[in-house]
Amino acid sequence: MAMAKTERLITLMNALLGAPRAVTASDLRRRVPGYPKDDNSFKRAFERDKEDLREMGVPLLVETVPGTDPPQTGYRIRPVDYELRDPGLEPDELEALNLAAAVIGSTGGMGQRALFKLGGMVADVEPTAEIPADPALVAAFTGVAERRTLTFRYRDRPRTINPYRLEFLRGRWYLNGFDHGRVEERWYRMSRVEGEVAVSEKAGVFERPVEAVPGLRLDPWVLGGDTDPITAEVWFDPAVAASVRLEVGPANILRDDPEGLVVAMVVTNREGFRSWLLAFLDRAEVLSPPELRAEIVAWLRLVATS
Amino acid sequence: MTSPKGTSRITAGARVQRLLAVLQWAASQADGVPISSLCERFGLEHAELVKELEMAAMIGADSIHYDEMPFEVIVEDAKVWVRLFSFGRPLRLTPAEGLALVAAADALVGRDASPDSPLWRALTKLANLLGIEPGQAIDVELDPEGGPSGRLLNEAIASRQRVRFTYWTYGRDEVNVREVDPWRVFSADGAWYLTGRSRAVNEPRRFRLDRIESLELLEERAGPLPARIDTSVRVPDRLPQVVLDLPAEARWVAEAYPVVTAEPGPDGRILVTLAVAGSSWLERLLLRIGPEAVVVQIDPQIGPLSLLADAAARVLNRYEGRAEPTSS
Repeated sequence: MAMAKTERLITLMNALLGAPRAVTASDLRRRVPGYPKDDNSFKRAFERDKEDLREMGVPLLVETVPGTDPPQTGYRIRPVDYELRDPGLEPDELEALNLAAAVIGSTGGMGQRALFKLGGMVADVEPTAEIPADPALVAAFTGVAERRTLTFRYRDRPRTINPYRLEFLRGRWYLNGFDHGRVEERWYRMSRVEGEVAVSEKAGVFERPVEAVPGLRLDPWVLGGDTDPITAEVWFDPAVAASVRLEVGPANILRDDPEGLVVAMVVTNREGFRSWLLAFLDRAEVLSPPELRAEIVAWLRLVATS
Repeated sequence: MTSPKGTSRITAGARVQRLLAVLQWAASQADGVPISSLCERFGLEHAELVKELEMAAMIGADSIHYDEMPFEVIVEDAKVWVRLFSFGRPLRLTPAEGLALVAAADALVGRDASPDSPLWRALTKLANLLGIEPGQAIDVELDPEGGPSGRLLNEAIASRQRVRFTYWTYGRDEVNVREVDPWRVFSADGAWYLTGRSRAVNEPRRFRLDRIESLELLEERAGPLPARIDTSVRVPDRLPQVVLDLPAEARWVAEAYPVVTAEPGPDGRILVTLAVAGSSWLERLLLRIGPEAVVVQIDPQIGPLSLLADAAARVLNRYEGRAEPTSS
């Protein structure tokens, strides 16, 4: 069954690829072996085949067959739309990509499929991590790569955006773009997008910003805050040091020994800072400045007596 | 979220593309290709590949139009010769394929990679093919090995050594020393984990790498690896529950956590019932929300009704137990 289907799809693609003019369904039925005899069954099988071709990414053109009266619908595939441009990968470059796709798994093995097209091979390595991708993310990437606008619902509101950049951070995808309704650039967490992401039919509909979009900062003591920056010095119990080191980055570590970890953090969102800090319970303590220390103490007193 | 890498279930389209890739590769080898090397290259079973090649040899063979034969395939003496009349170039990459490959390359290339490194050069060419700026349109931050602890643990796994480390059990806020026979390091939902047999309980356990401290490899050899390593995240079925009365600002709790029930209260307040895996987890949540949070009802297994006030007093003790720094 699977074999017959493979054979039929290849024959169908071959009949359409580079056809000088659109070919009608009834012509295809005659030329491609393996279609059912019954008219209705043929129609259903042909629809499924067209769907399979589209899923593969085959650019199937649907147009009126020239010189037909009454006009008849036909199909063809232009080689220029179909064929992969040769990126000219050197053997060592291809090998590096092979390894990358093997170590970092992809949803549905898409990375491996891409590699086959580029002349790569299956690497005998167990993937250690996987970067997830769902249809919404693929749509967002299409928008970024082909400069198409995206339309989707986010926080209960319809949005239309010019997508600029995708970022994968701490296990989640984020999208940056210019929001037409809000008239500003902002970040969206892809997992919070409600429903489908629609991609504009036309490509190249906006210009990318001249300056690179700055990367996303997720630090809760920074994110969304706009108070004057103050530098906090915070002590942490050695038991939680690994997790803190990872979050604040090596450049901000002042002391790291069996007595504990002391880090400097530039805080612009005091509430975000407090929330983050309290997650360490009594394994963290603000050392300075006194103003920030007093704020935390006041909060704790309020909670302790409530 | 995870998907099998194998070829057990594969769509009709994927099957077509794989066969075309096999034929294109074989056609590029002037002297033919041994079937065994095709199997290895494309991760296929011998019998399956031979069946597909025999089928490919038949395509268009009985047509009256010679030009309807897309390729000529000859299988002989465990070798294959292919001549292509059509399908000379592969199908362009779909967005999903382009995304997967660029993301994988970007994750490995790192910020400080030399522009001369093969992966960086490959990424630049790929980006060019897809019409994007390398490192600009897409940025993936993912340590492919799980940082220094991940690398060390992988070493231990390779040499079958037992490990010892200090572990912070986040949910119960406990710190203790563990001895573990390490099995596998893996990433899920943005965090890195170790799975292995914990010596103390002699049972499989999962550990988050960012809660491991003072990791060392021991002299003792670890026990044998199990045949199947389960990396799934298990949530206990029956957890004790708590009922919270939360202010309007804390409505996000109902979205961020799987609540058992959530009902609106007066003044935009919200009444939620939550299943709780560890009392420290609940303490953290309530400390964040602050004085406006009220514990209405609590399973004594989790703690007393005064759980929030007690936690605040404990943290306060750290501040007040020390001398206040002189104020400026």
